[in-house]
Amino acid sequence: MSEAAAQAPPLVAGRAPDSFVAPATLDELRDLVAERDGRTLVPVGGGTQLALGNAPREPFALVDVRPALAGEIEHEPADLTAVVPAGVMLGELDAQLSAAGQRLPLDPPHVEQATIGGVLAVGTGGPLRTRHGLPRDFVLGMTVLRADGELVKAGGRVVKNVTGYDLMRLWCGSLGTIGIVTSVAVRVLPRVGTIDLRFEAASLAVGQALAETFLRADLRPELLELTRQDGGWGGIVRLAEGAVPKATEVAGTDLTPCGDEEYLAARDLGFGDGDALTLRAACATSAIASAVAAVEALAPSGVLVRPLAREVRATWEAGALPEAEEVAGAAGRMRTALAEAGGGLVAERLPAELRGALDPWGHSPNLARMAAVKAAFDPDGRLNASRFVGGL
Amino acid sequence: MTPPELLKAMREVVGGEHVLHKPEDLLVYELDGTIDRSLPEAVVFPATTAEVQGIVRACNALNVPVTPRGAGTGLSGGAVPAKQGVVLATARMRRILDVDPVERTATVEPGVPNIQLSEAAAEHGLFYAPDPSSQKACTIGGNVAENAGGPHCLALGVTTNHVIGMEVVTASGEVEWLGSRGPEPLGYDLRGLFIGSEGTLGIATKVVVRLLPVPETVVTLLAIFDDVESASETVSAVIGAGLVPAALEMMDRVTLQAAEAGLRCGYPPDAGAVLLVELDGIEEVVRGQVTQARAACNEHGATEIRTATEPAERELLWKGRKGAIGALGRIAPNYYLLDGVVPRSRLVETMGDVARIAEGYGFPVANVFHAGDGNLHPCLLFDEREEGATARVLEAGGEIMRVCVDAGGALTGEHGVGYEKHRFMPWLYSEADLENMRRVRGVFGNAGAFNPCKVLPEGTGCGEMAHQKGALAAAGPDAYV
Amino acid sequence: MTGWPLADDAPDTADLAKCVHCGLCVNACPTYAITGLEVESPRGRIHLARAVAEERIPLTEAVQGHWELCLQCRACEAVCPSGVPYGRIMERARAQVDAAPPAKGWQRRLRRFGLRNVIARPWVLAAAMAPVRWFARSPLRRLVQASGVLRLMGPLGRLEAQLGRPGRPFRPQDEAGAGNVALFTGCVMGELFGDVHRASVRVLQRSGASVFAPRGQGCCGALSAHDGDLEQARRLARANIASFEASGAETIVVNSAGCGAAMKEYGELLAEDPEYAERAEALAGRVVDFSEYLAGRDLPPGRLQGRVAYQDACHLAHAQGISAEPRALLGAVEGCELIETEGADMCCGAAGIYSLIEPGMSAELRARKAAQFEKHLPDIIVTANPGCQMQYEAAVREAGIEARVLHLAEALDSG
Repeated sequence: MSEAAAQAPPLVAGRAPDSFVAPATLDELRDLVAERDGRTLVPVGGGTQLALGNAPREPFALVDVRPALAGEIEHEPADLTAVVPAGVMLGELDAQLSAAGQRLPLDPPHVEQATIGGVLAVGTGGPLRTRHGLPRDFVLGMTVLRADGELVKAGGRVVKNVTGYDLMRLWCGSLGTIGIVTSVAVRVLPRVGTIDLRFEAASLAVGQALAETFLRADLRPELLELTRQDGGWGGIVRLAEGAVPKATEVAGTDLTPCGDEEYLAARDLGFGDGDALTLRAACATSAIASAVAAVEALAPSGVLVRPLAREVRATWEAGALPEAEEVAGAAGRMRTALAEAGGGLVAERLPAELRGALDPWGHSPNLARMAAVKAAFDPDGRLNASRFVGGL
Repeated sequence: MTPPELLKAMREVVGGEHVLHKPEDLLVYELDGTIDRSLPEAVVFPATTAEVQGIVRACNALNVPVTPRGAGTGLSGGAVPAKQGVVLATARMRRILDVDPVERTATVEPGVPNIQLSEAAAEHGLFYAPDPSSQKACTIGGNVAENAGGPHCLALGVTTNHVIGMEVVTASGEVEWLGSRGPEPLGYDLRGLFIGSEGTLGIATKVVVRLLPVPETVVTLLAIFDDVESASETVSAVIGAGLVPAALEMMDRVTLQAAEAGLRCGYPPDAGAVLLVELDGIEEVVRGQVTQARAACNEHGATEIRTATEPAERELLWKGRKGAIGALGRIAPNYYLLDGVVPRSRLVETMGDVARIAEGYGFPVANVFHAGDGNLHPCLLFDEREEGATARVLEAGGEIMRVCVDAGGALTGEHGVGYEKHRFMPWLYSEADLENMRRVRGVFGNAGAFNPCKVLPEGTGCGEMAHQKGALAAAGPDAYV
Repeated sequence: MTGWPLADDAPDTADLAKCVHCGLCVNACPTYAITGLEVESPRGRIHLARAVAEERIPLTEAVQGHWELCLQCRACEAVCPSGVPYGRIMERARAQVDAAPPAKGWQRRLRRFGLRNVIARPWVLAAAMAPVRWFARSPLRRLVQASGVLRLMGPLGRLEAQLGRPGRPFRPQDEAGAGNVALFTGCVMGELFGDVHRASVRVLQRSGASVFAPRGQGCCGALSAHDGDLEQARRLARANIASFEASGAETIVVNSAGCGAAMKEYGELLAEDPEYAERAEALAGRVVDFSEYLAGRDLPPGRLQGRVAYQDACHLAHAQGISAEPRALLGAVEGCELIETEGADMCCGAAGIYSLIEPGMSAELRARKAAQFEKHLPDIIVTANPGCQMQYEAAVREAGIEARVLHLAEALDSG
């Protein structure tokens, strides 16, 4: 194991780690976790989401898990499954699946630079969630290094399985607070011929209506993204090639084939180098318009709506941040309004001047139960302590 | 006899008319759709969340185990009160509270039958995707507990992919929403953890599901083959061609003969296997997929392919599949329906092992499977009136499960572990894994006393559930006045 | 080993063993739909029968009560994947009740007396029904209805609500060989629903049949069988077999679903009778339902203006598997707008003499129908069984809508 201090370690939710380690093997990682030296351990893979959440409890070590969790991908094309060491980069996985005409349709921001373990721990989806759901929907089984150094598994590697508790769903999106994913079995899909089409919408309502039209016409869009543009909204939709004629027929507007740039721009919106504040709202369909109006009042540099996934994301560049009180007030009001229909608001990037004014997660009514979960699997608060919802 | 203090406590919560306690009335609640049985001491029918909570709390106070029950169609003994106590039945909670076509969600009480939810959604051009074979009877609450699937879950996923939130009464007697009507709850996915927990963590009292638009075009192909091998190769070819059909189902020779005898589906007498392939979507896309699927069937020796697009015609093709298991009842008095999963590529080899085991025990075996996802349902045919037959069939079932596990598979794809397989769990999971799962029970309180002896192997009091003939007869006629 | 007091007519162990308690029947069962209790479901009743057979429990009053509440609509048989002969099990289970410590003893004895001595004896029945017909058509009826006295009269009051406006009786008078298609006239049906028979004859004739009603036929025995009086049911079956054999009819058309189902099962009923077993099987093979006979025949369409709701008769849809034919026949009638109501194939609660024995459950089921009528506002309600017809008369009144209740034959006869 080496204390990798050669370069300045990145900040975690605005706070600098006390140490930066990169165990070389799984055994070394196990030993480190089991050590109970009073340090909080912050596992990191590709590091695409280090800004997320509260600052970890100090002192804390940033633990690069990639060397310890590297290894061979076991892809079974005939079974449409793959068993992947958690440290594998999704770009690498995608290349291997592609060679067999298959894919794993997960595309959170900067996905090719992320590890599969990290993507699952964060649990955020990308444009493809519109058709394929969240990362957790592709997990068949997992092995996890628990906070006491025990390796435990749940699920299996078959595509249909209800044997035992579905701990995979608990682990996915838990931000590494109840264990470090070491290996994961996923369901993969055949790669199919699709095409991206660009369109313009005079208003958000028009864009939303078009999305609804596509859905009701059974066109099964893989993704449908609406982004704020000068004087209106621009959209992209990804469809099976055979669906284009019917889409054109029902759309009532021009659908123009486009390249990858629009898709990538929408996918990574809010996660560019200059983006300092990024908010993501999960809203009911009927609450999308008011959520958009609320963020637009703060003059964001970009707004993205996934009408069929019921998600809104807005971002502000470092030079153009609104006042802290303004953001905190608006976010508070949005959270209250969204909660009524079961939605929420997460600050995915939060500049230093706003930390303290705005809880990145917001309130959860399940906090007591979640604390019980944390206590059951990491009673000493060793993993990512304080970083998650409610300071768990 | 029901302990008086228990009876009194239950009556206080729901009123006298909603508590069953006479031996004759309790009898049917000793079983579900499978072999294991155990008599409850009382069956209680709450109508509201508050009453559910009242029952759970009162039972916890009296240290009486609670076993939730929907329609009792489960196939792993999940609704059987293994340690007696109270059966909490959701039969009075059968309201569809809301269908929202804008959000494409519905909110229902747990006792609503699966089919009624789909019927209610149909009025808005929507449907609820999970369609277990028992969907005309089974309840949404039961589906949540078992994370139920169905023939059409190949493309669309199982219950956990379609239930977005639930109000539950936890094993400890607290009311809590897990997930919500919204798309993405904050923090740990407690909803995902609860679904498929087989009623061991608590009871869902309201369930919010997501609904999907009804497909524009549906085409069903029925391809007939000489043997299971050719049909299996076709399955691989269909998947290899990049298709993910809405359903991909297979039946073997014994099943076909039973189905033909009971249902007259028009299968040729020498058919060795039948494959059902269903494709849906817009007509322009489906047309090409049908061509691809037909080509795959033809290349692998299909002797005949029937195609149907109209609902009535499609139903006819499905008739043999849907009635297959029951039709077995016409060639043998009893069957033991198993549920195992193997990687799809191990299907043919596993079937060989299943046949060998069944032959060793002298039981005929029929196979129906969700071929697309490697989920097999071997049915061992037997006569429970033969001395020792039930015990031997359970033993054979255990061996078949072992084969599935050894092939890299799992103990259950959709029926649940329940009581039936809880003892087999160590085949798949280490003691550390099981201890880790046991911690989940602690999170929801009252660890192990809520629907006891299910899912996880437990130390005491979960031995064989006997047919309780002796116990009842010993009580004598006085017990019945 | 058996706990059955009447071993000869006990439910067959093989029949009971066929039930694998999968539970797929529970939702099809009307009494489960109302009560939510699995003891009031087919699986529960079969499980009780098994428990009695295996001497796990004695044949108690509670056990009998659960069997009694069964409508014998056989909706469960239609959905049972294993082919459990539920109707047969229930008839035989009920046959045991006589021999066991009686539940509702006097009621049972009275019922059986009526079934044996009134319903099954044409002249007694005719004498009993004459005043009923008179009352139903007399001005006195309105006075009685208005007086509220009916509410005090229990079962008789409820019967009044079901009574339509019966026409002249229709009794079998024809000599053997007078035609090739024999019309089965039944017991109460001929007395209170003579118009239905006359309509049936006209429609059958329009389809080209040479119809006659051979004399010597009588009650089919279904009511007795359902009551567990298998001995009486067999007696009546033998009489009908002999009479229809002598009539020379090729086909026997039955326009009452309950009778048709029973007659198609004469073979089973008399399977142990060396003299009659084969003859019963042969006769059963010649029995067809009215709509079954007409399906596929060339019937000049009639006319019927309005929204028509067809309600399946249980013993037609579930016991005989006939549900498409009546709808197709109605669909071909000019001006007929066929509508579907929810639960059209669920029992209306009439179920033979059930509405007299279990008035509470019967009323709950009727109320479900009434609610559907109120929602869908049909002009005409069509069914295929006299008991159901009477129940729908009451449901229409309960719903407070203007709708006529017709037998399928009457609906096809109009124009």
